[in-house]
Amino acid sequence: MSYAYLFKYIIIGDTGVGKSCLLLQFTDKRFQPVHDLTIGVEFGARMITIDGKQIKLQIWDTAGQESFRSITRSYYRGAAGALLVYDITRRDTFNHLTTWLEDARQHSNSNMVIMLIGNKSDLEARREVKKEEGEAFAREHGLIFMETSAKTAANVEEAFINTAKEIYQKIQDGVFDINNEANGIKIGPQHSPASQSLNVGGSGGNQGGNCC
Amino acid sequence: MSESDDETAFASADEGEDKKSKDTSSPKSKEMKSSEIEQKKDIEKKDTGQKKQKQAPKNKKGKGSNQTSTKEARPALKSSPSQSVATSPKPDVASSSNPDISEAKKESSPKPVGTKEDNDLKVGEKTVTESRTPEESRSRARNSLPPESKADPETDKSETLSSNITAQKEPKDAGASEKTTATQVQAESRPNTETQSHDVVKTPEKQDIPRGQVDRSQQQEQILQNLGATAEKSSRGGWGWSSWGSTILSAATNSVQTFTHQVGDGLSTIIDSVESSLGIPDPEDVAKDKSATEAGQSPADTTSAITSQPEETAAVESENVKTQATDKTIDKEPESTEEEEKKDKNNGGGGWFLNWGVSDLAKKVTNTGKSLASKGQTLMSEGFDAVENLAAGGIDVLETIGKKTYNTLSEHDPAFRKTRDFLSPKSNKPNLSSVLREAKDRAEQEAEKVKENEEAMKAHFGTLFDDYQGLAHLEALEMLSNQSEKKVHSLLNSLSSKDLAEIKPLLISIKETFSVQEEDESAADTDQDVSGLVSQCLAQLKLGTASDKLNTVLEMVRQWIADTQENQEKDSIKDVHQKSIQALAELTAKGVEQFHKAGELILLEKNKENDFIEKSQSLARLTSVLCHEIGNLATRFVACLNKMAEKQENPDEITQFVTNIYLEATNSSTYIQDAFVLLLPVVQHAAIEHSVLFRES
Repeated sequence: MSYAYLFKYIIIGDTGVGKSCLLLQFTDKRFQPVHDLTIGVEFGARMITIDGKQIKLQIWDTAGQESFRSITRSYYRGAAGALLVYDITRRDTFNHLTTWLEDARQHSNSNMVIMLIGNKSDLEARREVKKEEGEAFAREHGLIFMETSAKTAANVEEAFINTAKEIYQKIQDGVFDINNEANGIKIGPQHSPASQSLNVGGSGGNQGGNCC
Repeated sequence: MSESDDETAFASADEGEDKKSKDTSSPKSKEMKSSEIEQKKDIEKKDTGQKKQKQAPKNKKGKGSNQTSTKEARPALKSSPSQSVATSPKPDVASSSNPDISEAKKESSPKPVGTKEDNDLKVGEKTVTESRTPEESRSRARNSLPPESKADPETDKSETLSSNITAQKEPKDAGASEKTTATQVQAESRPNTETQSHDVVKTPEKQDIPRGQVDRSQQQEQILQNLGATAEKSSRGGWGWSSWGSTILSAATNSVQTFTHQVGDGLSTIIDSVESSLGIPDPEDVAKDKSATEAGQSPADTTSAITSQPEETAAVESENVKTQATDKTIDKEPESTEEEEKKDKNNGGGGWFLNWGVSDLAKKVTNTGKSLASKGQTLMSEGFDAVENLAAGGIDVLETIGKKTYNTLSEHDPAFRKTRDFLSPKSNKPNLSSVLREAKDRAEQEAEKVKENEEAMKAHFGTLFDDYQGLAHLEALEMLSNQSEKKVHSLLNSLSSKDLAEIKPLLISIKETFSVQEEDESAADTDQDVSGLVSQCLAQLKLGTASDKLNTVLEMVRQWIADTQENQEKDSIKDVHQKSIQALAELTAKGVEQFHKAGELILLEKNKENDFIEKSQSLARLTSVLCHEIGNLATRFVACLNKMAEKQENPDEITQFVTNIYLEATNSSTYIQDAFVLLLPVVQHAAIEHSVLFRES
């Protein structure tokens, strides 16, 4: 379970666009049609591999409700990547993107990679926002764009992994200072689990890793 | 050649040398010098002989007698070819070989490297030769050279060539010498004896100079005279033809030899560099050796033998012997065609040239073709000769190196134990099967390690706590708390002193609530209805959030403990320990999550009837209940383990597990209390905002 890097993601966007469903699809590979309203923030984590390196994605799924905005804003800080989600069947969720983007840019570090996601692509019949519009918005604001479906899992993996790749590339380019945890990147405890396990082996089952 | 023979040879050589130097000593300062140098050489030679004697026994051990003898003989010959000629201890071969040839070789062998020094000396030599009276030179010539040595220059040249090629040292030089040969051949037929003598004199090498000076000067006189006669004769018959033919031949030879040299060039360059670094004798010397060895077949004191005969007889005899020698060398030496020419010339006197002049062009062409063909063949053998020589020299050097190495090693390491250990490390020799076994073992160990790692992870509280998102919630709560704290400060600063005084008691009481929770820990019952208490606490918070998660976990843990108590046989101590840690981690994670959610909801709730003190007290109670429950669970787990340990053979085994469970239980409590404390700024923040909000309204 050791990893080279840990990336912190936040998923933001209007309520009901399918943020929690995207997370569930990505972490558990399942779809839950009826989802409770998210209170504050929920978490998900998954290990991915980029360039032969194990990377843990720690995803903060924020509540989309307006009332939680003040709270969720405090969670933006220290995120390396953001998934800005809108619902292609609801034009207003697309219209609110600018506000979300401003919020994200304001409360997070400037290097944060933002992926624009038009979710519910399986509901083509009810589409209100054209794919081209999403692309244009992404181009205009320097975002990566993708249309996904948490229901069919289309592009869900890609959305998360491509974001991670972008972050990884930024690390390689030296844009991110990996030693500054405010950037949402942590270097994995690659040695600590191994050493602890060695201790366990040596002392005959003393798994006493005092985490504090 | 045996050792004693060798010694005698040296002795005789020395004697002969002395004699010679006495004989040849003349009033000329040049000659004096040369004799001095010769004496030096003698000393050197003696040294070499001594060294050789030392080495001789070892040589005998390892080598065939033939090789050894050759090798032993070589240094002596090397040191001064002229000496060796004079002293070669085999008088019985005298009849079959000729001192002239050897003399000629002496002169010719060094040719490739014509240094300035050489030339200078030669010039001096020449002067000496010229200034000498004819009688004197003639009388001397008796000693070394027969009078009718008309062909000598040619033999010289051919030898020069052969040695050049044998040495394979400097192809360009060799080519030059080839040209010289041509010139000489031409010159031979010309009446200009002066030129020829110059050519001949050009050839000697450094080492030969001392001896050669004396002998050669005599020889040269002779040669000059003879050549003069021959030239006259041949020129009468039509030297134009002969020179023409020679030119063609030499041109052909040149081209063929240039090729050979080019081929051999790379090899010789490499060998040269190696040799020079090892201090091997020059290829020249090797070549000279060869010629000297050949000459070694000639009688030891041929000079005297010849001198004893009348002048004319000696001349005839020498001519014959020369022919024989030439025959002998034909198969070895490259310039067989020229030699054939020579032979013809020798046998028929000037007839060859006459015939040549008369015979038609066709015949000449045929001859040339034939000679070219034979030349090709001889080139091959000559190449082998060269390689042979080089190989012989190389072997010598290798032997010397080997001996030196042996000596050096045996000096420092008499039994060669270290050396042997170093060269053949028996212990380090890897066995394939052992390597494979090692690799397999390593792989197994690694797999075991990974397994252990995974198992450790399963029972590692921190990891499990993170897996249950307890850490993330704690982090989020921390962020929330920090944000609230900042807000509290800014709000307090913005409030008027009146408002501040109003709200201050509330904030203080909230703070008190958060700090008193440690006191009533002992009051809690171990058998309290934790689920009910938790539900009660959450209800008091009036947050509207379901306490499902926390209660579900509590239920699950209780159920599991009951199961474990019922059938202890099934689970191992390790399993129980793992399960207990897991339960503690999950409960703690859910507890932290609950506090996190509570904090978020407290901030969001905009209810006028909000009682923040009550909320704080509820949170405090919840913390207390959870901490108690964690302790309670830990005790139950330990009880399970103890019961299991009673049946185990070594009850001490569980001690570590028990310690670990209690340790992690403390950890859990700490996490929950931390989460609770983090809520203080949040509640204060909410209280201030609430008061501000509802005062205005």
